[in-house]
Amino acid sequence: MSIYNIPIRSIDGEENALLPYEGKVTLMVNVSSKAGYDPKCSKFWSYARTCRQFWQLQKVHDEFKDRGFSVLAFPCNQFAATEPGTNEEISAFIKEHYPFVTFPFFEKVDVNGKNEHPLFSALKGNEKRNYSDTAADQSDAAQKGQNLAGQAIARIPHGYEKFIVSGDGRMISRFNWQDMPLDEIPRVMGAGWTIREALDEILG
Amino acid sequence: MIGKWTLVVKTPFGEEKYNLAIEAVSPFLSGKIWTDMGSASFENGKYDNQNLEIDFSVDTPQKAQIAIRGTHTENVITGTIKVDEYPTLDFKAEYNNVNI
Repeated sequence: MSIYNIPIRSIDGEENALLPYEGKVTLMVNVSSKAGYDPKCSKFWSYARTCRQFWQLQKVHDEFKDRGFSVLAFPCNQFAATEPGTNEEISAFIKEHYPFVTFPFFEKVDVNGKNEHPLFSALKGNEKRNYSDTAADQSDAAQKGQNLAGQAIARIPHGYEKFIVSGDGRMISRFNWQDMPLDEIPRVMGAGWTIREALDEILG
Repeated sequence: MIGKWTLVVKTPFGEEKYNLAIEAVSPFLSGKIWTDMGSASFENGKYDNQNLEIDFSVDTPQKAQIAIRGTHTENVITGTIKVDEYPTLDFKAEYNNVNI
């Protein structure tokens, strides 16, 4: 089944909002517009770091959109409650404070757990992540493919996990929050290619 | 103008306070800006006709270029701070004292 057939609303409430992207390569990313990253991180730098994610996502969106590509963003409040607002509030906040963003946003979803959206169940599939940015990497549990809570490392550990989806709706490649869209070198123990390399290859 | 200032930046996540020390105005504006979490120095700033321009780079918490543009009137500086190419943030700085 194509991922694009999974029902989900746009952030403005439009039903089946993924269907128009059937046939396109997309980069699906769980986002939070108020990401703090670290309790000790300042408000100033938290905003700068969130800008950095959105800015680089917008850059790849612009670079590849004429080849049949789009970034698709899915707000999520599961990581340090950094996306607490309603869809309307999130949309207004993005427009006011990240005015350079033009790629589409979808309704707020859970990406892990009992209420996780079927889209993210499909994106995660049964694949283990290439690596984890949690302490689980070093643990015995990690060697068994679990994090310290015994959950599969397939879970999304952070905002800005990135999934590249083919035009026929298959998840092709997964990237960590630290894999920035404009990275020029693949991260060690990462997906083996950069996001731009992956897009260039998949788009042909 | 030389001395300590308290600088408050308005971010979308709330206001944040910084310390600003201006150590020299001519021929170049120099000093440092700091909080409990770190500091950065600047050396080649410009001050002309009450307008100031300060540019510097930082490596932590991320590599970035910072550009401060402001207008000085007596004990207040108002203006904007820009990180890389991101939207500008407004700030207001108030003069504290001359002891750096």
